[in-house]
This record gives sequence, structure tokens and C-alpha cells, in this order.
Amino acid sequence: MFSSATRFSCIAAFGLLGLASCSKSTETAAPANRITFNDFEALDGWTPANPSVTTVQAHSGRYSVKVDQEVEYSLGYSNLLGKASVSKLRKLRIHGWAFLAGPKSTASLVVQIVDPSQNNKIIFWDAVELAKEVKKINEWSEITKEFNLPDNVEAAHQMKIYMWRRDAQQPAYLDDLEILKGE
Amino acid sequence: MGWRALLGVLVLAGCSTDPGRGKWVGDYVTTNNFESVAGWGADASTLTKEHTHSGQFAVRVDADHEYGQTFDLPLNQASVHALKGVELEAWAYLPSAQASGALVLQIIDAAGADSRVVHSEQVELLNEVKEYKEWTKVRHVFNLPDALSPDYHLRIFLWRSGSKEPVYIDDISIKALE
Repeated sequence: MFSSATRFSCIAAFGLLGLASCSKSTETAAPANRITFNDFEALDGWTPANPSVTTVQAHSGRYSVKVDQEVEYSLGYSNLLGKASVSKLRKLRIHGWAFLAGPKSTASLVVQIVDPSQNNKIIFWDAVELAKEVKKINEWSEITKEFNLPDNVEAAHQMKIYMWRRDAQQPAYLDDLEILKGE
Repeated sequence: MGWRALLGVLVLAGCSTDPGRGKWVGDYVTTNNFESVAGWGADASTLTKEHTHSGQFAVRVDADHEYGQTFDLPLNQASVHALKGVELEAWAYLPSAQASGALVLQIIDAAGADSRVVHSEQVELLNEVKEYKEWTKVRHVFNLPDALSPDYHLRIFLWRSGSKEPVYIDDISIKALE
């Protein structure tokens, strides 16, 4: 048995540990190879309302992005390769947290590169089924995925990274999405 | 309940895994370091890499941009309880005494054909910033009038206000005073 004083100090100590483990990753310095990061906290009020921005689930803070039967594509990142990275991109690394509401959350994370000068001809397209990446349904799982880009990508090509519902009948959520230039 | 079980509950509660719903972060209406704007579907025309307080981006107003990236949300979505006011903090950078600029808070009645400014208050940056070509923390408490309709919008932005030189802000936070 513990005295009540001991019990209180144990609780206080573990309470602090709990808080410490939740500290926000955004407060640490961004890695040099980071192209972008979004915790989706600074969208509501700052940008036109987007139906994929939600507070139903969140890995950090209040917001994440979702796809479901009403939302085919999540809010995503879109930029010219030359603006995303000063040097040629050969590999992309995507890191983030995914939450699948159920076994029918069959959404994918898509990386797409198109050539705007050729009527958005697709230069590269790849998709990762989130169900193959998450450890468990109905909880947040950390995902890291690398994409090797073809040699013919150019600075004037447009890169788009987003979540696609595919045939999902249940929601899928993404949060704290980081896009890095691969080594 | 044994103390181990109690600790488990505390740790879980701290990490908000169950039921996992999004939680308000402190008392903040919003915070923005302007790092997750470019490429994410927002208008990035007032973002700049010229001078930044943190990260790669800050907001700039100049002769071609009268208003910086703007926060605008109905009051009933901006906070849990009715707002009595907000405490604004931001970092500002003025190149010289020729750079004026103001941080503006407005309450807007957006119903009807024309939106109407119900309340407006601004902080003149020249009154706050004493050193030019340096980032200075600006803090101001805006008190709001009583009995505002929850449908009114809270709008906060950087205004050029006739400045002859560019004006920059970064790392804005808006804390709810309820």
C-alpha cells in the first residue's frame, strides 16, 4: 500500500510524463529536407472552407483531414516541383498519421506528378493503400512511405499529394502530414 | 482503483486517444506560423520568404497587397464560449519609420447582401515597434462589445494602412478571453 502522499506524487509524476509525451512536434526545428508539413490547425478561418477538414478525429490539436462517402479527395498539397524543392527531386518521403474508422476505410494516399504544359499529362502516379500501412483499425498509426520518382520529372511539373477515397464506405483520416525530400 | 490503473487513465487522458476527437488547443482561437499555407489550397499571394520570424514564410503587405492573409470565422465557431475579447500576439517587422501598417480586428455582420462592420479596432504597428529591421513581439488585448450575435464574424488581418514600405508579420496567436 502507498500512503496518500506517495500516491499523489506518483500521479503527479506520471501526469507530467503523459503531458511530455504529447508535446507538439512542430515546436522542434524543421528538418532541412522538409518540403512541407501540415497539422491542419491553421486552415479553419484562414482558407476557404474545405469539406475534408474535420474535428471528428485528430492526432494532434483539433483538426485532421478526411475522406468519406461525401468527400472523394482530401485537402492536399499541390506545388510545382521547382517551388517545392530547389534541387531535383528523385525521391519523396511522406510521413504522417492515419486513422481508419473501420475495415471499409479503403482509402489511399496518392502522389501524382503532371505536366501542366501538356494538358496535365500524368508523368508519375502512385498510391499507397492505407489499410496496408496501419497497424490497427480505429486508432492513429504512424506511416512512412517512400516514392522513387522517374528521371524525367522537371521543375515545371506539378506535384499533388492527397488522400483518395477510392471505394471506401467508412471514413479515413490523416494528420500531421510531412513531405520530405528523400535522401 | 489501484494507482497503476489511475496513472494509465491520466496518461491516456493527456494524449486524448479516446475517443480521439479533436481537442481545442489551450484557449486559442487560432495560431498560425504561415508554414502550412503555400501549396495547401490557400491564397499565398501575401506570403513571403524575404523576412521570417520562424520557418520559411511570413505575411507581407505592400503597395500591391493592401491586406495580409486574413482570419475570418463566425464567432460561434471561433471559441467554445462567447468571447469577451481576444489577446493577440504576433511578431512584426518594419523596415523603417516609413512603414506603418496595423493589425486590425473587426466584427462583421455577414448576413444580407452587404457585409457590415459592427466593431473595429486596430493596433498601429509604429506605436509598438521601436527597432526597425528587427522582429518585435506585439501584444494587444482587444475587448469586444457585449451581446454580439454568434453569427457575426471575427476577422483579424494585417492592413497596409498607407504604408510606403512593406510590412511583415509572423507567428500570430489569438487567445480567447471568455
